[in-house]
Amino acid sequence: MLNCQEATRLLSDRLEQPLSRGQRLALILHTLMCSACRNFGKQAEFLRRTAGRFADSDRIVRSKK
Amino acid sequence: MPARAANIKDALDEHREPLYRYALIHLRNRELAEDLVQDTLLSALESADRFRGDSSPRTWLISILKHKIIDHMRKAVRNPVTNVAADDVHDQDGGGFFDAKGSWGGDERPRTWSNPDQALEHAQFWDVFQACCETLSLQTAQVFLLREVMGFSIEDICNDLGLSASNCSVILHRARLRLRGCLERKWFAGAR
Repeated sequence: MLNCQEATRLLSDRLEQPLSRGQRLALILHTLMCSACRNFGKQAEFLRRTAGRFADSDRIVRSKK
Repeated sequence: MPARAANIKDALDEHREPLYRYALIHLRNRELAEDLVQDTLLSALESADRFRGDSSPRTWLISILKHKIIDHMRKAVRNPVTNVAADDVHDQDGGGFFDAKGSWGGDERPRTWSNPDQALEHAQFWDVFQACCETLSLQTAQVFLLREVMGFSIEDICNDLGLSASNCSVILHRARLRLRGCLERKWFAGAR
């Protein structure tokens, strides 16, 4: 059974390369029971979306005023 | 100055501040960031006839600036005087995020963020994002920003910075843990 440190490492690695079947299964079993790690996974994806828009942040802000 | 050149110069000036922010988050050195932005605007003016308008001026300027930043970083890595010693990267301890069993340490446990994408529309959020990036060590910030802001592949980044693939993944993991914690404390916990 994965602990949270191992699970978040896989959630981070998942953004760089596909995981093995065994890793994916272990991750599903862990995140089903662990809301904190589910949140981490969503937040890591949010960080990616956010950082990717940094160059245009002034325009995103302006377009909403 | 001919009218066309003056128009181009005005158009470029509009991008000066965002370009400076972009350079600064990567380099953390105001003088250097300013220099590279000047170089970028100059290169853009010199090659304005080659800009065909199939991308936006911003995209075009950022791509010039990106090259200047990555060139600078490559030189810095090769130059032992300016090369910052590699962070001591161990994945054995919990890095302050986890307890001895690998469970979340109390304060670090991620909470649910409601409508996080709305934050992007607030200028203050981007200041917080920048401030949180500055809490990372220079090397950790470089790896994260080259990956997520510049969009380089993790393989290229490891090669350029002289890091092993496993060090790179540990660094990215740490960066994501630290940044999400920082954003949660400084933005999302305040129920905006």
